[in-house]
Amino acid sequence: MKLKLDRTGPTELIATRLFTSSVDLVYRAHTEADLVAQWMTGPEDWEMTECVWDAQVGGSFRVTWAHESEGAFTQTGEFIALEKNKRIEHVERFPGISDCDNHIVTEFIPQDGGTLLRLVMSMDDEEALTKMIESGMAVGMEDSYARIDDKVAPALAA
Amino acid sequence: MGARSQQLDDQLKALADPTRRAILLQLAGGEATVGELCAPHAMSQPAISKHLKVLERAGLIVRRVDGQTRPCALAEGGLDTIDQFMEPLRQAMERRYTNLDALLAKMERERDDENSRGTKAKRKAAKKSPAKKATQTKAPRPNASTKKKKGSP
Repeated sequence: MKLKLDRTGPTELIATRLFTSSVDLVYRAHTEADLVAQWMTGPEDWEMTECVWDAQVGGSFRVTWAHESEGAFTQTGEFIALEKNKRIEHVERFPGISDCDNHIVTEFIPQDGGTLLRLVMSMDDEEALTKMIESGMAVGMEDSYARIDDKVAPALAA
Repeated sequence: MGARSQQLDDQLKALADPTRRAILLQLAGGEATVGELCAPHAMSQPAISKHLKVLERAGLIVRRVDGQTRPCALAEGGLDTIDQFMEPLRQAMERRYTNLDALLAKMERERDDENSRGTKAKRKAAKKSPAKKATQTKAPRPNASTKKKKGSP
């Protein structure tokens, strides 16, 4: 199932995504550094060069992606609460791009032998919504503007 | 950047203000007059009117004339532009989760292999995994792709 992303308020987004694997595996993939490094990729042609992932209460994480000519960007954050195979609460930000904290609660919900992943992402800073979008775009920046102009704009004009 | 991008800019700027967001939330409950919109804020009516103009220009609210008052309401589909703007973010997240699908499949195979060593080794499935290998957590990975791509913003 493809990811569903809903804006549930001026500063809140909820993402849901179904996985066929059981919650214990999905949870491990979110908490073990060597596993996280395998799927949390950056934009196309950007390589992950650093993945420090200390998934415990009070632990922090730091992931850097680099491009041969575009430089590098980093995401940092801290883990607030973890409930094994159930729930992770953390904050994250993109230093230099957006220092606004994105507060994220990730829930691992068993469903039909698989896992429904549900992320509630909320921001409380004044410009947080805008910054959140920009931050998210940083992750998907490979062709985001081109996509807006090429796909979204015609869709809006229709 | 065309007119639509300009509208998007206007909308993002309009939303990047707590008072205007509060106004939108209030209007989500139904039409309201300027006086009603002023009530929850420690602000003058002209100040609120200024915010309303920003929201109106961004296409987020509409106003109609009703005698002496000009009640405000949420513009139908006014937030569609912003919703569309989320699409790159959605796709970026989906791309990661597609990687995660592949990783999970690999983890399941490894678990199966451990549980029934040798009997259920499905080697062909191993080829399917597009997950990039990153065995070290702190070391740079070799450039897997040399494909030319235009610059990112």
